[in-house]
Amino acid sequence: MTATTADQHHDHHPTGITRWLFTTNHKDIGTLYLWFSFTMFIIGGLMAMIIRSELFEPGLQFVDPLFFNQMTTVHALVMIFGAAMPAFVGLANWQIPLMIGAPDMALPRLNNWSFWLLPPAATLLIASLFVPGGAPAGGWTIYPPLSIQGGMGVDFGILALHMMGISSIMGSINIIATIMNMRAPGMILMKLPMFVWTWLITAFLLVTCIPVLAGAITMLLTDRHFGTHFFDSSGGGDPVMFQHIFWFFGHPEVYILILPAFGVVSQIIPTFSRKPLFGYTSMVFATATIAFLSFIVWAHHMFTVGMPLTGELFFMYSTMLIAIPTSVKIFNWVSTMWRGSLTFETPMLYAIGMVFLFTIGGFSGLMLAIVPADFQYHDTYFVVAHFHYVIFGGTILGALGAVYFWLPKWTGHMYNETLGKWHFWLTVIGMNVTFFPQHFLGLAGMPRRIPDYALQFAEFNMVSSLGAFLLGLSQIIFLINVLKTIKGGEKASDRVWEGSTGLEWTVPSPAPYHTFATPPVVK
Amino acid sequence: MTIAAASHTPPTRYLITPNRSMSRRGSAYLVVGIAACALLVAGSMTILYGAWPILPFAGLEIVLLVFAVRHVQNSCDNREVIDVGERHVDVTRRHGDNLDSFRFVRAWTRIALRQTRLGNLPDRLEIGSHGKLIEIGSFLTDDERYSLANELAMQLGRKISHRN
Repeated sequence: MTATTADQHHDHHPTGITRWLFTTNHKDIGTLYLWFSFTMFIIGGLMAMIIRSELFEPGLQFVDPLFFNQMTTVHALVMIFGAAMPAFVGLANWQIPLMIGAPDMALPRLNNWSFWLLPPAATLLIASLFVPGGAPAGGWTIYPPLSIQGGMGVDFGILALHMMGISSIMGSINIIATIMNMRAPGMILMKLPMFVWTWLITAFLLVTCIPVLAGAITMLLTDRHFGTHFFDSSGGGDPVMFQHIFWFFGHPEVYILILPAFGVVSQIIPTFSRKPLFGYTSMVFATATIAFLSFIVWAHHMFTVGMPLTGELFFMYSTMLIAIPTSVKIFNWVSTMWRGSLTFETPMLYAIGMVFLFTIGGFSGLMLAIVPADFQYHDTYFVVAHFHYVIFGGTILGALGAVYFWLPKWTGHMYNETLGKWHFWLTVIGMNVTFFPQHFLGLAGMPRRIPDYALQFAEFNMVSSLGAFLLGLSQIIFLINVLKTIKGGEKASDRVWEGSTGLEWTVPSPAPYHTFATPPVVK
Repeated sequence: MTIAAASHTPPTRYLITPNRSMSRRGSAYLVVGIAACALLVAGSMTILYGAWPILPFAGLEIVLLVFAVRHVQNSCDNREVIDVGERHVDVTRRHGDNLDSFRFVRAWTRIALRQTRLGNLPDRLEIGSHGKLIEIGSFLTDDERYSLANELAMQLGRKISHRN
């Protein structure tokens, strides 16, 4: 695919606070999303530090058990809805118009509103820690009956989730409208960059499953305050029904978090392998297949709840089926690197790290998919280790790699490669030291969401906590590197990377405020 | 955005349309497809688990989707047709639901470019006569507007007047 034009006329833009409050510019809104996401990442990370400090040794050291449970719950909600999802929406805002040759998102005002719903939602969620009864403490899955019995903080959490859901819906509709309507002449769907493809599929997932979450938490709310008994067994309700509904949203949510990271990796690996992506078409269909399968596997999260054997078998096999399209992707990434002219700049390190660590998370997922084995692993630290390998090893490493990959295009400066590599290695070492021992803890029977544990788990927990502190501290390097890059540094060329292809690299660095006012022609 | 100049024996027609990659029919299929998926999921949850409160949220989402796609499609249908004939210049503008037609005497028609905001190129192109000027090419880029102004000026045998 080649672009013949990429122009920028005037780079004037509003200044001051109003620029950010009222902006409809996709780059400004992307920047807002990314800074918001990083702020939430730090807040969620600090909560993780509290959790790991308490678990550093057996016994109760710093916090009481109720507060500990609030920390695990809010940490997860903040990280999923405040950090991971907005990070990729930010990347989508910045990159999708640039990658498809559009001047902006299709619905710029809606875009502004989508973003500005998030800060009040996050404030509500965090403020729930300070209301009587404290924040939600029943886990991010907000299972009844705990969520029905909780204090006012649960209502804060529900309202925050509603607002974040509305934001996601509006963002998704905007992304779908942009990709479908505003592609440059010649850019047919099968020429879309993989990052755009993965986002298109993610947006479809979002619009399909967010109403399910909205319905579920509304039912919780009415059970709490309006005398309904959807989930309240004392009134004839069924708490297990909530689990079914929640996970019908919750499992696609995992793919909402990971698919855009797959897209990022599919952009980075060919660039630093100096080869086109191996098996583009199979990548697109594998992504779509994963998205489809994500809707028929939800009950693997609740094997132990008491299901008919047929149901357990169905969900076990359908879950295992996901390994096939996922393997196609991993095979294609490895094949892209095969005999490529590889270099290992920071984004490439993150991409390879992501492929490697996500694969570990995928394998532990397969272990969890086996019904009899899951009866052993369920609600243990093995599950915690598994989803952190998927979400941190997959989603977060993907997002960090994306920032390093596109930061020169955004700022016009090259980041500091040495700091980038330090950040990568410390993050990867910290992550593995934190989460790998948790596999052993889980296999040995340590339950999740407890502030205290038996002495036999002490060593691995201490190692895990040390890894977490390293992981937390290493993010300071990232912040320093980004700030230094924004402030100055070696001038980035328009193309930035030797192996880069695609429309975003045809605009100057930094990308002007208005780009592709004249659509490029894609051949 | 595209400008197509189809040179007939008079009049010469300029058709100005925004660049869009999906047809109206495609948009309809898209909305129906997404709505079907959302309703299938919400309906299944209602039938299987009695979770009817999902339905109104799915409905609201579909309303928002229809509004959004309709809004984008309306902007896709924007078009301006400029017919430069031997005696008259006819301009037909469709912006959203508004359809306007104007006729100017060719001999008196002039082209004006205005700069109403900071930038390298003028951002407002006007055509008209006898003190009545109307804006054309509002959804064009600055470059395209400038080249359209030059084309029209050449066609009419006029100079462009630059105004601030």
